[in-house]
Amino acid sequence: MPLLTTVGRKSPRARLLVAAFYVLLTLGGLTMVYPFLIMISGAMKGVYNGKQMDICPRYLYDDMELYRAYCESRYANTTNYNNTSDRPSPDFDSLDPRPLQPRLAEEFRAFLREQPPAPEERLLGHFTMARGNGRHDLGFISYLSDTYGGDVARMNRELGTQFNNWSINLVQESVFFARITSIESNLLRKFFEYRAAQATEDFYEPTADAWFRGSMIFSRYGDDTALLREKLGITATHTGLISLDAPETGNAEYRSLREIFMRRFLNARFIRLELTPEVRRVWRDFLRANFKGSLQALRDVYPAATDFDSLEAPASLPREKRQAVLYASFIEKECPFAALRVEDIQTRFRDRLIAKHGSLEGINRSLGLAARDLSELMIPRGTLDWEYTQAHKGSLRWYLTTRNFEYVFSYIFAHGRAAWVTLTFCTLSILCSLVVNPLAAYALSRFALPSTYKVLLFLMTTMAFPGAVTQIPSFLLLKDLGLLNTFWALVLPGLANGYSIFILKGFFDSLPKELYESASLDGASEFRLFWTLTMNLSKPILALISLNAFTAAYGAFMYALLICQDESMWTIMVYLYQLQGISSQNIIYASLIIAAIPTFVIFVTCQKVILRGIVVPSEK
Amino acid sequence: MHYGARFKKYRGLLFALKALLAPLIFLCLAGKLGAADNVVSGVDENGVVHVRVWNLPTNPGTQANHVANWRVLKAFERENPTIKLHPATGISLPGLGIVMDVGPLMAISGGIAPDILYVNFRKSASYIDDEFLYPLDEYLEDYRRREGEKEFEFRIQKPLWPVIRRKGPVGNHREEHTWMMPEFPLVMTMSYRKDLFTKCGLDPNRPPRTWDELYEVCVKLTSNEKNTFGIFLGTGGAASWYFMNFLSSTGTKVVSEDANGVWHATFATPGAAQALRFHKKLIAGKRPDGSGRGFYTDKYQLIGEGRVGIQFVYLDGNDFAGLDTSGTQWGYAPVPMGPTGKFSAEINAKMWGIYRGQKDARVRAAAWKWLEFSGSRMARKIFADTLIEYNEVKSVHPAILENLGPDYQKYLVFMNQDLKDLYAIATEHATPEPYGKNCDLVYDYLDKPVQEAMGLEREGKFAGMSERQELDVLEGILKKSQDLAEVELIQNLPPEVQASRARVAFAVCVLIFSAFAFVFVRIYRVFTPEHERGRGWGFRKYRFAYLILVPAVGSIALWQYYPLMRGSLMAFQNYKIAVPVVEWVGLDNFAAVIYDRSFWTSILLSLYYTLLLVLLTWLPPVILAIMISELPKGTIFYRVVYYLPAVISGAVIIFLWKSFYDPSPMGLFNQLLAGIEDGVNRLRASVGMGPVDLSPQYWYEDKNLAMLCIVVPLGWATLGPGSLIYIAALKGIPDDLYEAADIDGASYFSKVIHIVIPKLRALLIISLVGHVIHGFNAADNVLVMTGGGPKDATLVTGLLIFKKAFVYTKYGVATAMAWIMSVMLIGFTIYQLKILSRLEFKSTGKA
Repeated sequence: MPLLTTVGRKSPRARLLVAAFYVLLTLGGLTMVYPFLIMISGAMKGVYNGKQMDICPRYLYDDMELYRAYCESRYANTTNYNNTSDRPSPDFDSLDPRPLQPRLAEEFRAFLREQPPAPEERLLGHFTMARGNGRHDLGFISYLSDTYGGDVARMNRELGTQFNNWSINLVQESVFFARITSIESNLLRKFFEYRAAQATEDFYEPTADAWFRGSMIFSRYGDDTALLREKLGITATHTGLISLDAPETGNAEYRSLREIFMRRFLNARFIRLELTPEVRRVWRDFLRANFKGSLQALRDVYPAATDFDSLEAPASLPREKRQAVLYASFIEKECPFAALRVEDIQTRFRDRLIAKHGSLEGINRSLGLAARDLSELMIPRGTLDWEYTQAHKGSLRWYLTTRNFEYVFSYIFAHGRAAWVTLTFCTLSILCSLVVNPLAAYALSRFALPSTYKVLLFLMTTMAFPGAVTQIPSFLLLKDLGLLNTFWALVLPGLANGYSIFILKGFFDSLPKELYESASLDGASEFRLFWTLTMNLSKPILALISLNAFTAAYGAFMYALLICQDESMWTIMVYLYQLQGISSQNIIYASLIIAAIPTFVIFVTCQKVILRGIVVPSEK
Repeated sequence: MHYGARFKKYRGLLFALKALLAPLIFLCLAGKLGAADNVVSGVDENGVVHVRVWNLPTNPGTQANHVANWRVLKAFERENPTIKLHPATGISLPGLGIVMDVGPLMAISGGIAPDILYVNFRKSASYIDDEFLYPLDEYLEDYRRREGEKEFEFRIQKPLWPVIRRKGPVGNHREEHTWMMPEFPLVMTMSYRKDLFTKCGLDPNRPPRTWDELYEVCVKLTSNEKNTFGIFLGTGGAASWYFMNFLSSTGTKVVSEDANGVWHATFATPGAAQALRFHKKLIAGKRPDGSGRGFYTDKYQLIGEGRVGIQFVYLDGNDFAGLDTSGTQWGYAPVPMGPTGKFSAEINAKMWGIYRGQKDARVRAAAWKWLEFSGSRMARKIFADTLIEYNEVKSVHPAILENLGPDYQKYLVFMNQDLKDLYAIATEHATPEPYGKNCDLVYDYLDKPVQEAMGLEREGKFAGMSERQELDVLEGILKKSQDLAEVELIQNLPPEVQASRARVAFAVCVLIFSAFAFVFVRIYRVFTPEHERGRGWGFRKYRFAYLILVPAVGSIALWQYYPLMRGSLMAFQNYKIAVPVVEWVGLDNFAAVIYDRSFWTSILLSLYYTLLLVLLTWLPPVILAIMISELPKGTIFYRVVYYLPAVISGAVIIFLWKSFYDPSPMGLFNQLLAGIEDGVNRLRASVGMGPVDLSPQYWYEDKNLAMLCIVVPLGWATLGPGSLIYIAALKGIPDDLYEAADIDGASYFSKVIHIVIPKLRALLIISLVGHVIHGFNAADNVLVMTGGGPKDATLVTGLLIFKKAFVYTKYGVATAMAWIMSVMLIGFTIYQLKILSRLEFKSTGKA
């Protein structure tokens, strides 16, 4: 009851006091709520905007921020972004797609419709297995899970993998950059299957030009246009216009970089050979030297070959593995440089533009551009992405807001057992707390045992020892009994608690004795006395006990981790704890919020019962 | 009537049976449901041998080295169809040190030890001494016979022999054996991010070669605006591991073996002081642009994001295939020279051992087959072939290519020139990572001076000192730590000292056990009212009551008393978890604890922790409860608001706060602090006053703030939930007391003092005592927030015991510590029980 009495409350001083309490409580309340606001807004952000401390994420009202957040989700990191974009940038904070090239973008979309790229030419966006919260990270895992009926063991059997759970790592970038010609990983094959069903807009195409800029130019000389023009003798007016397709530009240093890149780094898949007589001759010499003139060794790799002279040089990367290795090393070491041609999606796009509009002037005229050279025509990635965000504002905002949460949910789902383990563990804990302690307390309270105090003493003496003394031996006991990694280990050691029994006994003692007497006279059994009478009268306190048992079980992670190190026995909390180590802060925030929901709902709905169940000790 | 009574009795029994059986049946079911479908090593009915291998690949991956490892595994499976390998991993607890150190130990403690263990140099001695490893001599002899001398020598490189072959306990004596199978040696190197160099106006083809150059480079790379950092270095528990790089460049050895084969800590050299001076300058030196201190980061993910210029990595045939060796993004160079003008690179090797706890010889033999195969010529060939196919032949160790013959030697021209030079330098100057007795702990002792120097620098204590003075201070710090390490780690004590220690330990033990006996008698007295004494049990009469008491009593007996007894025995043993040998050591454990300075420091720290805990969590909930009870409206609203923290469970609260405490200027609290500073300075400027400086804090990395940082979140989290019981208690105070006080003209405050406090007295005292006991037992929160650091400033007793037991597997010592600690708490416990025995319990029944 309030200290101020109904009468005293009316005095001005009392009113002032209450007002002061309101102010203090509100201020204090803010410190309680503020961290939650930080958490909630943090959970709606990505990595680049995670350091903006605004409570309301900027992309919710700012279109440019929306574009940047979209790009971060789509490309996961600036390396990926720079490998495809015509607007290179060192970070996502300063991305800007302007000036826009809407007509060129329209041309590119038409080009994609007419000549869809080969699967290995494009990468799937929103797929960041490392960070994990992209839309397609989740999509791919649920695709796998659907394919194998949610059975990891079956997936392992059929794919020849040994995953413990659905947290699956796959790096798709190397598919693009490595020279492999055949996919030997079944998992990767599955991934390509999954990709085949995705919408065109979700893909992006890295280009040789962009890769060249990123790996050879920016990494060595920075991305300042003026400086690059001076040092490399190039004429590009901004860094996004540097292209491999302009062999005549640049000084000797630039040209040597270009050659090194094309010979050594660019995936041979993107190089076509112009088969001049000289190239054919060098190729034959290369083969002879490689096979030391042995026809048999040659036949081993080229079964159709009859002799060294008649074997035609390949114009593009052969499908056969060993032939591909030879092709690549031919490019790397022997092939005359003039014969190398870059052929990727960007060069094909340029070819199409020429074919359609006739000439560079024609292209400039009809698309409203001012390109000085054909090589300056890039895939207008910035414009494409900007137009996409403009067309999908609502759904994108929703996606960006929810994706971390969705990731956490699917993370929990991916460890499907975790939910089940947690549920079982919580249920068991509640049941045990409702059975063992109340039974013992009932026995001590209801029957005037001559040994009541001895028993109580026995039950409570161990309180004198800190947990640390028994922790290690009881851990070893669990180990000896073979109970580690079972529910027994989680539940049994805390089954009975002397202190709870003591308090419960005290509470049962306070129940009116007359009730028991009259019920006994009416012929009620001991069970009815215990269940219908005692337990019924103690509902609030039992509710509180269950709640405490629930929160303890739900929140336990360290002990649970120690005694159940086997992954199949990890609770949600243990997984969330492990998640801390592998994800960005934003996902951690989302996981905290999700983990808090059950406890919060229970408290809000049961707070009246809980408050009634609190047992207040008072002196006799 | 007679019949009815019997029936009633029968019904009572039936009920008792039901009540007992229901939960048991449920538990059985649950146990069955919960039985983990994990792989157990052994031989199955088809004769297939199942072996659990630490960190076995789980899938082919898409990167060349992953694919290569996968192919090696598949080739092994083809060759040995009757052996099935299974991946085994351990758990990681942040704050407990490096995962690869702790993971396997935790797995062994947790009863899920893999059959093939990963061992590194620094842990090797304790693995041997704790008898985790099965001697490999016979297997190796057989291998040598089959494969020939040449292959054998290539497989196990010469410098590694002293590490893998040494004396260790077998049964009750020590024998020389080969315990581990090493992989190809790793070499420590510096890799630097060329693009970041360029971005910051540095020449990407000129890596720093000396410390001075390294410092210059780090200064240029570090920028708050761009969120970039010069160098990746660990702080926390791993600081000394990174410090080693500088230390070895000065030619200092952390430990060395004297002529008698005894190991000594030898890291307090003038060179080490130089290294320490340089290291602390990198970690905490003032930035020239005044934007804070330090040029490093310890956030690993920033490396991947390209925000860190320099890192130290091990180079080997496997690992750096994961790195980019194309020469475009990452450049490689030797670890920069120290003032002595000496390049130095630490040499190391991953090593693998067979778990001695695996009793099945067939499993051990199968495990050996994998050890043999995974580094065999065939495996090396598969590895090289794969990397060639993936256009990454640059990543294969040149020595391996060389060894594979002329077909492979031609690829040597593709080697990154940086790397080739590096190998040459490395093989010339390499010093192995310490591997002697207790070397894993040496890092702990080396950590202390590193952290102390860092702390001093951050506090600006070196300002105005000359270089000479700085070096003297630092050498002093190192010396202190070295002496400590000598005494506590090496522990080669003269017999008379040992004898006197044993006497003290004996006295302490007598004290402990008599204290417990005394306590037992006291509690018995307190609890048993006079008239109850000497009455019997009445088993016959009350058999039903006793029956339903069985679960509780049995459970307490099994899970409290039995561990207590067993624990008291363990305190006198050298308990080894892998082998069933019981080695009685008398009072050695107690003597070790009593003379362990870190134990007594931890007791002081626990006191400090408890004091803070009481201050922040004892009375604030009472004040909150009084305020909330006073409100005419909105009670429920405030109750829910203040209860909010309780919805995030225990340790997670610490995680949350830990992210707020982020010590970089980007951390929430540091940003708030900067905001406050900005506001205050604007205000002061408007009235013509000079600016104040609230520089960013290091929070839990600051040894003065760390403990507070751990306790504040607890205060925050327990405020609301803790107030609930007081709200309920306040409802139980009758109104007329206040009315009477009003008539007497009592003020609000005096009503609190004279009515509320006395009414809540019992509750307040119980809660105080509870907090004290709780505070002393604390481990979890500290572990999560600081792991005991910085510089052991938060290594409270609870955590020390936990680490001793589960990280260092010194169960005996840990139990002895727990006993000594509980003696100190015993008074509180008696007091608590005494009060409890006088109380009655009622729920107020009102909401």
